[in-house]
Amino acid sequence: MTSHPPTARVLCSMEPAPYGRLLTAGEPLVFHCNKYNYWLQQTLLLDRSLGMREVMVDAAAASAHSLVSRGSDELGLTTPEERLRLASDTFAQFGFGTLDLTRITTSGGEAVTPTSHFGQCLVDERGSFQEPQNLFDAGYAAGAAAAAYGLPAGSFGAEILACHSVGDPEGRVALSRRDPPADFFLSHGEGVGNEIAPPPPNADTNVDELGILEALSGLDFSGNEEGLIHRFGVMLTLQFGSYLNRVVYEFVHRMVDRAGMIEPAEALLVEAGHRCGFHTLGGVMTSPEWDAVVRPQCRNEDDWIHGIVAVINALGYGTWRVEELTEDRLVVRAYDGYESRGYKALFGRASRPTDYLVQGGAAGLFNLIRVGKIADRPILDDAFYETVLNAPESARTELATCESMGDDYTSLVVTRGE
Amino acid sequence: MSDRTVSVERAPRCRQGLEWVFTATPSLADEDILRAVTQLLDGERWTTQSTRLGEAVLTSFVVPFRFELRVGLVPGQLTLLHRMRAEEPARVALRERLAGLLGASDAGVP
Amino acid sequence: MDAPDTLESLFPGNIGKLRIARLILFLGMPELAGMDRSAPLTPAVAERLKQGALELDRAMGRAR
Repeated sequence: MTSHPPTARVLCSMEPAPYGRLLTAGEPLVFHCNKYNYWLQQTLLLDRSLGMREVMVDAAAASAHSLVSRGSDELGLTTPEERLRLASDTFAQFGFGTLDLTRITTSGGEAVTPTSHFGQCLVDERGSFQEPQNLFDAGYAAGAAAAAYGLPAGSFGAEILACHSVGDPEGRVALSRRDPPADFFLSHGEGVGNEIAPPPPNADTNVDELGILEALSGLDFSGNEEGLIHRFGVMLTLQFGSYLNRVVYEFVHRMVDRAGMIEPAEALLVEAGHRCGFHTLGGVMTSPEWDAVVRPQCRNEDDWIHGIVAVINALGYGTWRVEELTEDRLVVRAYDGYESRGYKALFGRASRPTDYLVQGGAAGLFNLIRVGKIADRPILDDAFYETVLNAPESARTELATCESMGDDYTSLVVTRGE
Repeated sequence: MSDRTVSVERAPRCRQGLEWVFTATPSLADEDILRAVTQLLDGERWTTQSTRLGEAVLTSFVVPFRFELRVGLVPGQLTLLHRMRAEEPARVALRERLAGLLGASDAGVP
Repeated sequence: MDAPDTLESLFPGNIGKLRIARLILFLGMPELAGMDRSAPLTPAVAERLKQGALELDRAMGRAR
């Protein structure tokens, strides 16, 4: 039998960035699964009066515009066709689906997504949505088209015509020129870091972090021919940090103005991070890949925590270091995370902690290992999630420090419940 | 005829129903699984990729827009990933064919 | 006569607290955050929450 090599995609290089960050064409990237993308999106859309659907479209446009503009320069792509190809191939490579931009001209046209992460992978098996979920796709198409034709980021409006999530067979987005271009925010790019080098990994473990990172570097995390990344039992995306930060912090700022709303809003952002930890990290820890690489090094439950922290350090979240670990408490230092870096670039120094994702994620990994006993291979479904979260010993995380507030690192203090 | 049985289980963590795990009893060696895979891929256009992970080697076979097979990480086990656009009748037929090929393999582990 | 509904009876546990947080945003009811979870709800509020929870499930693509 003979194999046929896949057609090569036109892509920018993945730039090495300090302290565990992932960058391409100046855009920070982080792995997020369909569970996080679902829970984050559903949180942002809860209050319809906030106008977050438009924000999400525009944020995706800003990130795509930045990537395609800088990426085209990097690769020497000069024609709109070449640049649109870069946009489509990147969309597929990062796990967002397949995006056909061949019918887009300088005056607009229709973008089509035969497959779509946001259209198809958020859908719960029990039902489908009342409103289209492919907001990211729509914005990405608009921003990419503008960049392909050398236009400002707000040059195209995007109207969603169809989406898998509401039962359509494919996604379709109509792009039309906005003349003059809309007043538009731009991607924050790489963000603002502290440039503080993290200490070496905690030595009080049997786990070899560098060995794990090296082994994982051989795994293929690119989107398949449908533009989807099916790995660890979830659908992954390599998401733009600039997109996530814009939509999350815009949501927070709009909520601050409403009496009594910011606390529940922040609790739900943290919970989205908890879901992320639970499903993505849980998927990793119940995967054959984990069994092959990490599990053989684990001689006790603490090693599982050190092992999953090592994996986190390969996912674009900056660098995590275990500072303290007991049966009832975990303290993690997070260096150079995309949340604080982005917040500082967008708004300067924060007056309150901003690292919602890692706050929930740290509790999620602790709950999986200490409370949910992930080593026993539970099924990571909603029932298990609810059992763990409702358990009296379910853990919570406090942010003792936060980089966006001027601290050297973000300190995540996870404490088991009573 | 082989008296081997093959269990075909939907991975409960995959909500979309795309991921299925095939396990034979008595167990099959990886080379026997690969023999069944070879028969399945006969006449198809496919790609393959191998990755070393610790002591194991993960090998994947992809028939574009239809399915992917992963072999090698768990001894005796094969994972099938349907592609999103593959129609349900084709998915069912593929699982039945693959289970048949695995069950018919005569070179089992002693 | 049935015991009156409370936030705890309608939305038990930590999962229930998060569900209430969602309803606060979805229905625009910040007053729920400061309520005693074991206090009886008026029938009107209880009905609004039950109905709101169903609408929320539909909006989130989770309606059974």
